[in-house]
Amino acid sequence: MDELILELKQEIIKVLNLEGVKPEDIDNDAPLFGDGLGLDSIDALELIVLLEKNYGIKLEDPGKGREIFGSINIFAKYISDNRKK
Amino acid sequence: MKVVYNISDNIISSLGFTTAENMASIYQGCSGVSLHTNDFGIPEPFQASLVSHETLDEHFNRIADIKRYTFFERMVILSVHEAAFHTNIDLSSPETLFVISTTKGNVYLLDPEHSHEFSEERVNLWSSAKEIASFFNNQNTPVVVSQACISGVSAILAGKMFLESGKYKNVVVTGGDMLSKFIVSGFQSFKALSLKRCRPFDALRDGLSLGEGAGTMILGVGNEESLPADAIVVKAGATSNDANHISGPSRTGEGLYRAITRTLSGTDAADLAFINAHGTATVYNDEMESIAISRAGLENVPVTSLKSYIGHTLGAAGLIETISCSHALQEGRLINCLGFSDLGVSKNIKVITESSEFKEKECLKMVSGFGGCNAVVLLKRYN
Amino acid sequence: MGLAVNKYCFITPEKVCINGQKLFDLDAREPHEKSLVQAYRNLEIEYPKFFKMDNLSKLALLASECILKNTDLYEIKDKGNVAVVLSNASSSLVTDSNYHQTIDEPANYFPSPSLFVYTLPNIAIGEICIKHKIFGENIFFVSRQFDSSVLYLYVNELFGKTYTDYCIAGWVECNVKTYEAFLFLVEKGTNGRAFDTMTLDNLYKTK
Repeated sequence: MDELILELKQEIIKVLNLEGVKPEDIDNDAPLFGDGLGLDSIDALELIVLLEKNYGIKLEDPGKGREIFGSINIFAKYISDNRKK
Repeated sequence: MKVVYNISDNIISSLGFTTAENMASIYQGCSGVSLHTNDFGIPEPFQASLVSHETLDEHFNRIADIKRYTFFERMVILSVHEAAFHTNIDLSSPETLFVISTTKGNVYLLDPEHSHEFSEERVNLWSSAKEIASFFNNQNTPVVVSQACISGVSAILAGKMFLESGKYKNVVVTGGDMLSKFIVSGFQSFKALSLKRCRPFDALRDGLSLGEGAGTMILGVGNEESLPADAIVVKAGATSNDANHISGPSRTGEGLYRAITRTLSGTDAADLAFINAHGTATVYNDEMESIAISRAGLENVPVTSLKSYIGHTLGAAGLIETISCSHALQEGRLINCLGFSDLGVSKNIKVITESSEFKEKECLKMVSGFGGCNAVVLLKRYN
Repeated sequence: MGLAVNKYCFITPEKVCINGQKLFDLDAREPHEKSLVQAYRNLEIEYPKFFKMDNLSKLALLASECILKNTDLYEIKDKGNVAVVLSNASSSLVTDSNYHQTIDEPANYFPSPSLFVYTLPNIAIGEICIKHKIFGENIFFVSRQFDSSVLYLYVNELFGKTYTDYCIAGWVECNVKTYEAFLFLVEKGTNGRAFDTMTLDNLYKTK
């Protein structure tokens, strides 16, 4: 799980262009949206692409995204439970 | 007093190749939107309103060689040709300016499957615009307006300003967009498309239907006292930015509200027969428009959207839909908001469900687009 | 109505200049993205959203900072009377091509929303308006080269016919070979350079 969490953080920083943010800066339980990293609706859509591209998980309902992307831990668990790649 | 008015126009969409054909279909409640599977190399199905290549080219063959122009250019050229046909306007005159509205023009040429069809520079909007203006032997550099979904209304307002400057006698405001893998895939990546035909302002709305087409308005300037009968004047308009987010509409409808109030300054809202909204049927757009309409005190003005008839035609939308407004003003009949059943926005706006008659002489057309831009135009019927 | 241009700037891969004075050099050998970030750092802007933008929007944002900084306008929280009129030759073509790469191969078909949103040139206007809280008139023109006559005609009418007291206008071009921004601020008054096509053409030549 630790490996997945690190990999996930690195991917998020890369695809969302989070300049100056390092994996150790992201708290595993902190909310990803709202104040934390300042992610917005386009970032949420890009994370949906990441889910499919890297882990083979297709998210049909973008509304579920907010739940799944709640925090790094929630996100990693969802991937771990559902990944096809 | 001098005013800018619409001399002639044309609409090309899935519903027809003339304004008359389109208006007749609209008043009959016909929709050109349907489900497409495996089109444009897109894996997922999507709802769209497409212009028939076959029928377009039957018409186009009569005026030029199909092979010299892209599908986008053929739609726009044919539209201008049809609009100008019954007028005596000299399209080649130095006193005539072309203002061309499009979001993506020939972007389909970026597709490796199509890039060989024309020269590399043809993907540029200025290059495509040059082909269009040159077709009519117009030597003025055409002005290209590319401003997301508000391009059409922005172009009309720009055309009005160029006429009011006194430098030109006529402005041909034309524009279009064709659908492609580029455009459809992009909207799908935004999860913005509904799998059903779109339902503007409806409680069950869940996204837009795409469309393609072209529209042309040939504008002139003349004295208020001596306009042709039933002339439609482009009375006022404004653009504004939400200054909020590049793709999400403002939760307070800030930009649209400001554009509406600037446009209506000096006009009594009681003179408005209807509002033709952007009404794309995304959850956020329609809610935002209802808020802006309410803030502007226009909750009692009948509201409609054309998106379920012809889809969201992007760079053509502002033109096609403004033209439909001008003809609705002349008909004195409201256009039903196709796809609407139960109000699904937080403000109590009056969505049109019956195409009843009216006596008022003015209407508002509004559009909003990516980048937080908004545009509103006020039309008035004279005589 | 008298209109004047008292502030203008140039940004190219070589340098950033305001009112004819070079502020600093940039390294033209660097990829565009890198030199634009270098300009951002040299201008001491604190705006993390910058890094999400494509090169066209980055360029436009930087140029708007150059124009507005050290003017009374910079601090105003609600600029309803400021217009933004931009133009270029390539529209958003660089980003269009980048986006197309995410859909070219059927086996690797992953359309990117964060790229797609920048495939419209007017997003650059949106980014300027968001940062500087500008709510006024806005439009984006595309022309083969910098066209002072269209910009002059349109901006002149804006001042005469709409609620515009200031206009940020100019040329923001970004293509695979190079980038170039020429932005100027038009305001009411007769102090300074008269706003007309000759002024614009002369200033543009000084890049």
